[in-house]
Amino acid sequence: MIKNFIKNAGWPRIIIGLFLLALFITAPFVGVNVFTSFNNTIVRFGMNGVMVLAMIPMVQAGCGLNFGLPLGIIAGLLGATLSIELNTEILAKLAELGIRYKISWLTREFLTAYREPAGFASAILIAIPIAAVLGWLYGKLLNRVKGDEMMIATYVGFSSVSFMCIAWLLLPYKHPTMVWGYAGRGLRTTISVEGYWLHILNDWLSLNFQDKIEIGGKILDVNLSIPTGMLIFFAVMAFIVWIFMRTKTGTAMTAVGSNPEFARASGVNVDKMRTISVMMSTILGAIGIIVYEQSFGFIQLYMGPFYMALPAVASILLGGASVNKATILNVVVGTFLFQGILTMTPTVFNSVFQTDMSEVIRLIVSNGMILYALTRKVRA
Amino acid sequence: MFVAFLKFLMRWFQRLIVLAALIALGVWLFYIGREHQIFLDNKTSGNFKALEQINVSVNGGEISELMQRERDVKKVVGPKFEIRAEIFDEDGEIVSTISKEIKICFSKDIMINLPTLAAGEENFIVPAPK
Amino acid sequence: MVRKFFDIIANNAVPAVFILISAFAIPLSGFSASYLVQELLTRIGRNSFLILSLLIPIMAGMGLNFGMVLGAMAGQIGLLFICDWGIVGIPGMVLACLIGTPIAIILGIFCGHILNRAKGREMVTSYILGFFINGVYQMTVLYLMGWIIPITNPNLLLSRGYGVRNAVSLSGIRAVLDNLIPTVITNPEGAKQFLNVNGAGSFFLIQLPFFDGTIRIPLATFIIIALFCVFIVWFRKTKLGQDMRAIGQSQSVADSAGIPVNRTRIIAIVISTVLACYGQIIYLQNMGTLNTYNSHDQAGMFSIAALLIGGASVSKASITNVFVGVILFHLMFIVAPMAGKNLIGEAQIGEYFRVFVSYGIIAIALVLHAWKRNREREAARRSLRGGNGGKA
Repeated sequence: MIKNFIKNAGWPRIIIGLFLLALFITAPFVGVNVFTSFNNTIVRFGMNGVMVLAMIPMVQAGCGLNFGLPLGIIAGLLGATLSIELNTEILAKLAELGIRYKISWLTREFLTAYREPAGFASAILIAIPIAAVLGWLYGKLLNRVKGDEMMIATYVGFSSVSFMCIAWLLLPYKHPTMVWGYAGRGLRTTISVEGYWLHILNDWLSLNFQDKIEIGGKILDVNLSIPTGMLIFFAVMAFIVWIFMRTKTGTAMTAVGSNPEFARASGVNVDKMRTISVMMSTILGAIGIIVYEQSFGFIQLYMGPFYMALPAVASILLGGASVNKATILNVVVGTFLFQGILTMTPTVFNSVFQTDMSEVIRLIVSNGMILYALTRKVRA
Repeated sequence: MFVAFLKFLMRWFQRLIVLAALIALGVWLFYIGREHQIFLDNKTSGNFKALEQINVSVNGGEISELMQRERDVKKVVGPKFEIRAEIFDEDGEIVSTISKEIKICFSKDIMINLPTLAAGEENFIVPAPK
Repeated sequence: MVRKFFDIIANNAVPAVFILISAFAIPLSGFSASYLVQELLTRIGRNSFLILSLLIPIMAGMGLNFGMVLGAMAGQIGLLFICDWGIVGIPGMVLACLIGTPIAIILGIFCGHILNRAKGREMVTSYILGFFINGVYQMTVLYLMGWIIPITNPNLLLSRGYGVRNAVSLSGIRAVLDNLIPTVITNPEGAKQFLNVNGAGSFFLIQLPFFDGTIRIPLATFIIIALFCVFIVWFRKTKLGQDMRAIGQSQSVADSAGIPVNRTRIIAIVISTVLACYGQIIYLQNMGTLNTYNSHDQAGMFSIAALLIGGASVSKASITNVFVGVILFHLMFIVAPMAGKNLIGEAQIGEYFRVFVSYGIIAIALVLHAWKRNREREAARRSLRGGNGGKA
């Protein structure tokens, strides 16, 4: 039984799991506040969850791991920056619509009171069509390069990020909080979302505990703040994906992924399914980065999205997915484990060795996991 | 069977020789390519009093003039180097000249106590300062 | 005749586009010819060896070896050791190669085994492997050196006592190979000035009356690169080289012909890794500083981009591609920021542009390769199904 378990889980996953367990066991002894670490893990889980979720459609449709996630992220960044740039215009337009169509609740006062949620929603609503268009093109491209999707996805991601580097400098953004002060044009490398939709999901229905408890003669500050809203948002997104994978289109997609020849024979349009999966992945990536930013507090432009695909890919693999099969459970478990390691290593290593090895461990863990998945024999 | 074993042995023997040759090459490169710092120290050491002035050049390079209690540092490459020194008295007259080849071998940096060297003694090499 | 001309253009679309871009960007940048030639010669000497190391895995049908960064890391470890020991000059460089070689061989064997387990997706696997080994490298250099691995030179170590600094000066071996056979091209006027400044040393002074400016040529580096090109030409004709080409054509055919496929593939990767190790040492002796944690990162990307710009594809690359690529890629590298500044008033645009081009060109090359292969596969399948009647 143990042998079977090891075979199913795979050595790297077990080693990483034991590593995380060791971290959690060591933590209290070296003076790390476990509650804070746990809280941070939950927050980071919520921040990254949707981006990891974005892996599912493409993996299920047989397009491999979405190393091209930066493309979706770019759509999200466009949505986020445009929502700030056009914030007042959008609100004015909405109020106008409210008057024109006599929607009683859509008043100026209502919009002022809910300015921040409206901004967040507009960011997502702007991002989705952009992501859909980019994803459609990206899907068409990937259909022509079957078998080499992952490498090409990586470089599509890289080239789109570096193309956008030029675009961020040249696009006619005007908003004073976003452009460089001295030049009056060109977006800044990091843009604060404070005053727009900072922590909009984190603070929604958030549960806060504050207490002191005594463990072994030490007084521990328990300062928990559970971002319920963000978790609910993730749950809703996961539920949508779950439902989608069970619709007719979703099952057809899975069929394409597990056996394209068979799917074609039973009348499924393989290329169309693949394109839909890529569009979904890209849209989820776009939403994912906006969720990430509202919690992180900043929009990171230019080279910011460059390596963002790797942690997401590593997370879902860590959760038990393979190159051609992934479930929601894989996302939840994987994101939790991966973010757990990311939060625990710096604190524990700092207290034990007085150095921060987290960067190196992140590199080895995430890429080791991807490497392991890539070298598994795939059922043809 | 025996021949096969001999062949096998021969193969490993050849590999061993190549490996040894490569290691020897490495050691030789280490020997001839190492850069050393030579500290020139004009300070009183034991019975040998600091010299009034001494002009030193290493491997025919730039001459450094060292007054009493002065120190200078030169860089040389390789296991040995040549030192030339002119020793002056209070009036600025050359008292004597020294020309000597010094071996460093595998150690890194050394310090030369110039008064000891001028006196013609052998133990003029002292450990380099940290 | 005209048709043939268009064929040549179509087959070399990528280099042609770059020649066009350069034709616009060079006058915009406002650099003088002698400056450009000097920069190009330096960069050819600096980068060619690294790019040449990519040829052998392509020959063996393993695609672009993104795992060449493994070799670059091995070379850097060799350089760190000679810096610690204070070995300078040519002996230092050779010793660095000597230390780097076994590390590169071990990493190459490891890489080869991994790639044999991931047939059909060698590129993405070697790419991720580069990141993975980068983690191991950083762990070694940042935590083990000075602690378990003896490094004592305080100029190398961080102030905390272990771990290597971010920037290590390679002053001991800076340009030793480039200046081994010092060669200068200039006009008679420049020759006089040059001799006044440098003295009548042991220089090869080539005087060309019409030449404008003074150019130093890294002759010894060029000789090494030329020797290496000869090696590759010779290697293609050996039994091993023939085997690799057979595997590149078709693994199954090669296997049935009795060629040990997996073993030969590992050898191809080992050779590439070792050569990348030497390439990185040559590259860094020219640069003169080692960015301990970044130098190897860009080696792979820039080499691959240069090779592709030279007209190579994932399955076919020649020595000509290497040199055309290194010239065109670095021409763009030199002129893009200045051209961007003079055109739009922002050097940053040119900077981003060349990064975009590097990644974009790799993406396009990969897409074209996969597209072509899939079309061929489709055509083969159709002709198999429909006999001769299938519409290809």
